[in-house]
Amino acid sequence: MKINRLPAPTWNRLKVNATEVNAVRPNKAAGYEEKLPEGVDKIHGRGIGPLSDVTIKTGLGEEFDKFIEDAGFKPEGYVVSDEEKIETPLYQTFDVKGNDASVALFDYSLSDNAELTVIQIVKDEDNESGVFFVQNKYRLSKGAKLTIVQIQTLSESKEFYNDIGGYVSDDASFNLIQIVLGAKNNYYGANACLAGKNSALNLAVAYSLKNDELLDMNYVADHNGKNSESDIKANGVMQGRANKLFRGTIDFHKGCAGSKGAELEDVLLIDDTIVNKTVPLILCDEEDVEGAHGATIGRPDESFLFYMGSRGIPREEAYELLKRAKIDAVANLIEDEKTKTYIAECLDRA
Amino acid sequence: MSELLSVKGLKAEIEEKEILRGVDLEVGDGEVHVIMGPNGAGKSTLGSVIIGDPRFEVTGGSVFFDGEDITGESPDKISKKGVFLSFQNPIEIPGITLGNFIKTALEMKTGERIKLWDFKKKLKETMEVLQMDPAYAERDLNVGFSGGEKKKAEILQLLMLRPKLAILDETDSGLDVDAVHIVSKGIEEYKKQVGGALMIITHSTKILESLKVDKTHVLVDGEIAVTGDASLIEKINNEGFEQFIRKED
Ligand SMILES: Nc1ncnc2c1ncn2[C@@H]1O[C@H](COP(=O)(O)OP(=O)(O)OP(=O)(O)O)[C@@H](O)[C@H]1O
Ligand SMILES: [Mg+2]
Repeated sequence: MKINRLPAPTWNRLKVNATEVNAVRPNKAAGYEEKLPEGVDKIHGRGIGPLSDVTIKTGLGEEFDKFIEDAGFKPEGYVVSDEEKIETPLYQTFDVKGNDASVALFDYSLSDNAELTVIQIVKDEDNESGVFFVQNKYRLSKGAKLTIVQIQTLSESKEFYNDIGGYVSDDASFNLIQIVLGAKNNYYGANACLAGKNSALNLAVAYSLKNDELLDMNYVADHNGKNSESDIKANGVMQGRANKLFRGTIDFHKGCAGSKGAELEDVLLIDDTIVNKTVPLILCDEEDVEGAHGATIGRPDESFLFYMGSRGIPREEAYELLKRAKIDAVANLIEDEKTKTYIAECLDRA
Repeated sequence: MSELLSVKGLKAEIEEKEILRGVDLEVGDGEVHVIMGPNGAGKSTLGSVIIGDPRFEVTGGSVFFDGEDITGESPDKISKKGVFLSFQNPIEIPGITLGNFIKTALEMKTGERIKLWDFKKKLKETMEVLQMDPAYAERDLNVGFSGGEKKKAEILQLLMLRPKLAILDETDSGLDVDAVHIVSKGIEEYKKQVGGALMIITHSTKILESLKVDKTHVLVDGEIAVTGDASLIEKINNEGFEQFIRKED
């Protein structure tokens, strides 16, 4: 199937319009540990909450969505009712075991002015060649605020499909923070339909890729509502023969007057053997909008390495410090201290 | 007894331009040497080459430290042997805090993990000596620091890393009167606690007041034109470098 399709094809000899994958069919519902905070209702099955009839587009895309649906697994639904601001995060920890193709599907539905933070930790303790699919769909009513934090530290033989999509009403906002520290093949996609006026998407991803790791991303901000805002940031460090494809689309649809979108990439390329591809796309069907794209892509500065060296810090350790700096810049957006400590520990172990 | 630092006939160039044209210099354990010389003479270059700056190509001569040939070694190895360079213009490093940077440098030096609590305590005490706000430990290294604050951050590193030889490249320039006093106190502290040798590159004498200078060298056009005792400083201050500059007719 084709996944991570760009909303509008570009002519590009690098073949970035979509990614062809040969995924094995999910055969098992993923086990996970969960800490459900008070005030969140958990309901098995799709179609919950006030916006349940809205069709959700996801980042990995239609073919993936169908592929997952055909496998016959049911999502878990989480509902937060009007004005409920849940302070304690909903923690979900996935310990991906063996060489199964396991799947976890979630639907979040936040009513007017509800707030929720979901923290998903994806890890493993073996080195088997399993596949893990996770899909998060969200529906945010007026003024609601959902934050999803994902930290992935899978071993280097795993494959990970991480699909997100949702609908954002008036004054509502969706925040996504992703930390990518492992797995052999990573497919990340996120789509936000900024339907309401003043709706917002804040997306930040930090990754560290080494050896033969692959990270294929597709982030889309669909601006429909007036004065909607999107901000997409991708920070990363690439080593070895790592391969990265970043697709970031800010799509200003007719009627989204006053909207703003910005995407910013900051990539540090440590070795010459990496493959780094970037497709920033700003599509514009509306006049009164502001779209911006920026990128800092480069190699570590010699004067930096010399300064480090003069203090007894060798090259590899200097890279390590830079890597942490890039990841910390995103990790620091996380409010939950426990999660920040967890990330620091993962980085210490690496 | 062999000298701590022994520079012999050192020649170095950058972009095919010869900057050091045969420098000879010996610094014994715990000695204080002053390097003076006109702008562009190669003083900073000498410091950089001693610590192994890869931008310069050593085309002749050698540098021995503690009995070992360190010519052409990488900066981290030279640093680990006990050489420290306080930069004339320290660079800014976004994303890495001053505290974390020093901690990593210390861990590299000792090869051991340092307990965060012990480290923080030591760092705070040392910052007090230099009258630095402890909040600076959490700031990105040199980013947005004033000129004087950058110099203090260099001396903070000197005090934390405790090298056998400290090369201070115009550490006193750009400092206000009070800051010169504070930094001088820091250097005194280094002498007292570590007893290391100093190679002080300077255009002024203020920073030298509390130190006993063993030797003064005047570097002109990539060579040591003259070496003398502390009285040479006074002489240069009164008469300038003119007398040492070779007339090329
Ligand atoms: N990166 C470089 N590229 C080209 N030339 C350089 C470089 N670094 C130094 N030089 C040249 O080398 C010479 C010596 O410079 P250096 O910085 O060592 O002088 P200095 O004695 O420290 O002077 P000052 O007292 O002004 O600090 C100068 O002519 C300078 O222009
Ligand atoms: Mg200089």
